[in-house]
Amino acid sequence: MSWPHPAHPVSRREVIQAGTVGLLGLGMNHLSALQAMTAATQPPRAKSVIYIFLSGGLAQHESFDMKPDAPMEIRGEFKPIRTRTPGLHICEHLPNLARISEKWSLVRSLTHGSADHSLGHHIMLTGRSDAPLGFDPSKPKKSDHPSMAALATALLPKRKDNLPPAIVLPDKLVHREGRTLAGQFAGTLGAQHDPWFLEMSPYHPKHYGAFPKYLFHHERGFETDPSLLFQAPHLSLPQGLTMDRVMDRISLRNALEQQTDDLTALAGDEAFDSTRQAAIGLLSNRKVHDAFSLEKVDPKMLDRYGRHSFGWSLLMARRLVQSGVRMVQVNLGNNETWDTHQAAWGNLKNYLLPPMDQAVSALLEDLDASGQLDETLIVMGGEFGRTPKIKSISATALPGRDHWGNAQSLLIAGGGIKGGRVIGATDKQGGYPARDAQTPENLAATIYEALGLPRETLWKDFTGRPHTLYMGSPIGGLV
Amino acid sequence: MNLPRFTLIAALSAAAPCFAAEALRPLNFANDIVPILTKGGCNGGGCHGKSGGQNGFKLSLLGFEPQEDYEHIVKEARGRRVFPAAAEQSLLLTKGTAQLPHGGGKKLDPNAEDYADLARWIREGMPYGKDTDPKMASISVEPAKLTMPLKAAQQLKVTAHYTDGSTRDVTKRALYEANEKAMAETSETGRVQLFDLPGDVAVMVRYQGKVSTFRATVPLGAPVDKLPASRGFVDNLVFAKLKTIGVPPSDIADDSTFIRRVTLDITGRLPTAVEMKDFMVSKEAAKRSILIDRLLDSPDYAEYFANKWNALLRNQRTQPMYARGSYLFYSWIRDSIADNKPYDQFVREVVSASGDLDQNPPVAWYRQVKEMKQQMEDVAQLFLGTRMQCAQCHHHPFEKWSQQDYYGFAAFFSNVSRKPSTFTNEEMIFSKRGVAQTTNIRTKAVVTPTSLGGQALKLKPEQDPRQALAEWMSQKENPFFAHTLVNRYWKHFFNRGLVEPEDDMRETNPPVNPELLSALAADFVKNRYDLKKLIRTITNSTTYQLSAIPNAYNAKDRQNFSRYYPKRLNAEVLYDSVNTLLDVETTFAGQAPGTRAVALPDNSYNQSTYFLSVFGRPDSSSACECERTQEASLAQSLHLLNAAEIQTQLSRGNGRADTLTKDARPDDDKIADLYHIALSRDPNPAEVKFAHTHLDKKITGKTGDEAFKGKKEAYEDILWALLNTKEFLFNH
Repeated sequence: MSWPHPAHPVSRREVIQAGTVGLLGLGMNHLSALQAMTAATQPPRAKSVIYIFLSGGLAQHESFDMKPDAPMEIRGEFKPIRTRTPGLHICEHLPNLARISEKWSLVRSLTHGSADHSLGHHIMLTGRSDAPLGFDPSKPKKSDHPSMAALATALLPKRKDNLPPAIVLPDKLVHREGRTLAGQFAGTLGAQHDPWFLEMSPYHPKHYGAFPKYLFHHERGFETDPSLLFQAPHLSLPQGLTMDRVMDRISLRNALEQQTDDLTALAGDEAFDSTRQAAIGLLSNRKVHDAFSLEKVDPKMLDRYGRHSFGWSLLMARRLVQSGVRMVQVNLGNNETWDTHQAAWGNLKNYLLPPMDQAVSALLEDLDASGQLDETLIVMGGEFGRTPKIKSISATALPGRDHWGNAQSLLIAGGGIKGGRVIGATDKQGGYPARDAQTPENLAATIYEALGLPRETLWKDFTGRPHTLYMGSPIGGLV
Repeated sequence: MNLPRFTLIAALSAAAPCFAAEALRPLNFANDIVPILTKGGCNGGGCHGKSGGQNGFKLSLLGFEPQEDYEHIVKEARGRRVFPAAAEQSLLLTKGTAQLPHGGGKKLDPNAEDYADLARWIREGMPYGKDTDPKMASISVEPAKLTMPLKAAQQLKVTAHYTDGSTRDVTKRALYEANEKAMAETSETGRVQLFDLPGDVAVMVRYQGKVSTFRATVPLGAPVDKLPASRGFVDNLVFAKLKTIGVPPSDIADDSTFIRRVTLDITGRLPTAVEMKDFMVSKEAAKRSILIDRLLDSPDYAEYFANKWNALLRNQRTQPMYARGSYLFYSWIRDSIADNKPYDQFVREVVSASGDLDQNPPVAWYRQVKEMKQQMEDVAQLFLGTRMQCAQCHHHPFEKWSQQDYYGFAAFFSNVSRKPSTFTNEEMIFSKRGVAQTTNIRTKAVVTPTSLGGQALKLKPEQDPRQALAEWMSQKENPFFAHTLVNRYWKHFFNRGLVEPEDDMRETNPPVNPELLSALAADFVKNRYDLKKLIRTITNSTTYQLSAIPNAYNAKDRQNFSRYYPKRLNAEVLYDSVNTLLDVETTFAGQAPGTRAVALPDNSYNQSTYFLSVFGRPDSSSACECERTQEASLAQSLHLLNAAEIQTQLSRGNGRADTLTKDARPDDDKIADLYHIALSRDPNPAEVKFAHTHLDKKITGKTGDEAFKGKKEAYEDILWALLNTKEFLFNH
């Protein structure tokens, strides 16, 4: 699992060339070294993946790829701080992550061509840089590519306890103008493979950030809205209905159905029976129900993750992977919360970075303490990074940064990867990958490999046409 | 591997004696080497065969382009892939056998013939073969057709035939796939193993772009002596098949089952309680035929089938300003169906549509289907049951269609042009003057309009090639056109096509009852493409009127129509049915209150009505019926179980539960009402008792408002229970 890397890593291709030369007289013992290296380049399989999505686009300059030597109009207001890893610096407003840098690594060179929110979401949620035919930035379509979570839903085995393979929480991603973003759904895979959207935090169009403590407006700053709730509404009952009454209804239904036994039995389509059973199971199975509830969580744990929507979301994700859900996509903030065009520094340091730093570091430490970090791959990214150049959207607005698909930083941890690594780098301005550019396809391949999906995996779209799952190679150098 | 020389010698000496005879024959890259790569999956779409290749090594998909593959293997990567001086150290072999790290794993066994052939080919200097070498012309499979007992097995033999008349046994290198995976599985070496399901199964055999099919008929062998009366050729052919395979059909469905079934299938709604009662008491001998005629003449039929065609013809409102066009097109479709416009004319008017939306609404099809290739693919799939998509970029893997066929067929649309319409943001469609032609992207050759399997046409510059296409489609002897439609409609009523999927008809995917498919198509042509007549033929058949309840033998039958196969109500029909049961009047934006979901003019309502999207109403984004998701999902189950939307409708004032509670009639009558509305039948005594017990439980010891509240809740529960029964959720 952890083959020691040479001080000057030799690429596999170079070694293969050496092997060929070896045939001509240099001796073949390179070959066995090469075979051993293969084992090292096959990352271990993770039980689960948590994909933390920062909708809106986190600025690399204000987080994991600071450019303190760049001119003021590029480097911004924040200062870098040292992490536990020598030579690795991150933003001063991420002190908890800095303290545990041995638990995570960075990919600073993720790049794709789009600076558009809609297409960017589609790219980063599906792991495909190409726009699907007929892509419509204003709404999801059935011709969209399937999201990674949808593919996980379709390709991973079903579980006996009815928990779906992939869950998205706390809500669907919605553009700040109210339209649902494309790329989150099953698209051409067929809607039956949509991941399960928990909708724990019903869409609220006006606010950003992590409510209640870190709720804000990009222009006006801090806001409060006591109506915002965090719950699992699919599993909670509509008003006026109790669990007893639901169970009562189900037994009445069962009694009535028994009167037409022969019909009931043969109308089965297995998928129908199993999802119906699953729905009842989810609703009534206390153990499963508990996984979706934060009521019985140790208050200390709630404090550690943070009593806000980011903390609750990640705590919920952690409970779900513990219960056996294979992929959880966690949207940290809706309405493109991270879209810091204006008042970027104030909003980032007051409302965005602190709850993210708190919740993500809590998640890593919590998983590590229970020995589960090694079997849980954690990836954090957004639809894009932000422009190197600082700008103001109007004469009166405080400055920020615009959309930038050419570079963003990913945080990646767990699942057997080594901490304290940095893959790739951007140029002096943090604008373009300077080396080891990585694609969304590679990110997807990293996730699929962690989930144990074989390289040859094909998935079929609703017309029956086969497609390759892996459109890239897992990001190298992390294990 | 520490002693390379030894390995090399061992491999050589192992290869020599085993394949001495073969070693005399010079190897040909296309005939001998590519099939090994195909069988190993190396050139599959998941590996090196995908458009960008894999890790820098690209092969043509499934080996359809041997010359390109030869270049990539022999000349790329500085010759490291093949190494004649020490063949066994070639990357092609060391990777293929996973001696070197290989993402695809071990695909070659060093001790097998494939490996030996590859090694010999490399040692002999990678010959491509001569132009004069024989080429493969076809493959044949033996046996081609067989009647087999349940659970039996059969080894197939596949022979490749070459242009010089020689043949070769390619059983080991061919690929096998059964069309009914529940009935049979195939091994890599061509052995077919049946399971315990009776019926027909076909095994597609592929070898280097050639296909052939093995068909097995698997009888159950039960006695079929007591057949219900046949009412025409449909029954004759279905029953003949049932006799052959020894599966006796179920009994005829009773009247209440029939009226619910046929009303849902023809009009997409539940029969009303009044319709149901009238039908039950009618003593008319031909009452089922009369009912069918009445339904077909109702506007509900036109709405329901317009809903089907509207999705397939991609009538989308992608932008708010498109509403005008989508309404016009929808009305045109609905009116065409109501008028029973002959199907060939309907298709012709779509395919050759020209002009403005107002004069000619089907030009809206060209608004959504913008590109020549897309137009051709839609027409091929929708009207001809042929999926050409694959052949755009490579030879179709399961079919005879090449890129030449693809672009030849696309050329029918090469003159379609647009100019601004008098209506803002709309376009006028016309066929520009000129010789219709396009370019085959692979060969760069100019191709002119060519019908599927036909000769290239030479059209005059003033001819609209789409007229020629419509002409060809509606020729009596067209092998695709009528077959596709009758199969599509058969599936609508039986929940299973004679060919499955219904728009993927090809030699390697044969119909379960070919005689029936041909007879239906011939009858449809004879009746001048009369759609209502076709529906009458289908729904008046005894086969359609069989019960869904199995007898001792046919519970597992899923393909021979020995009983009616229950199907889930689709999104729109279920939504309407739930609303009917709960007495809810719909309010769709821009539509009259109470408009049925099946009568919505376009896809734009899917976004606003969660119910419709979660239950899979299509977005009209493809010409494939498969866009409609009929598969169950957890979200659907949860929605029926505890959605606030449904609970609100159940409990609201003046809703069904509220009205029933206020209704002074005896509870038994009211329970019967609910069964009539939801299930089109009387409740049986036990069902009445369960409902009664529940009512009693809810009001016991209560008086006044409390008792009212209890009773209303009880009716809410009964309604909920009914709408969650399979009997309600399915058409059966």
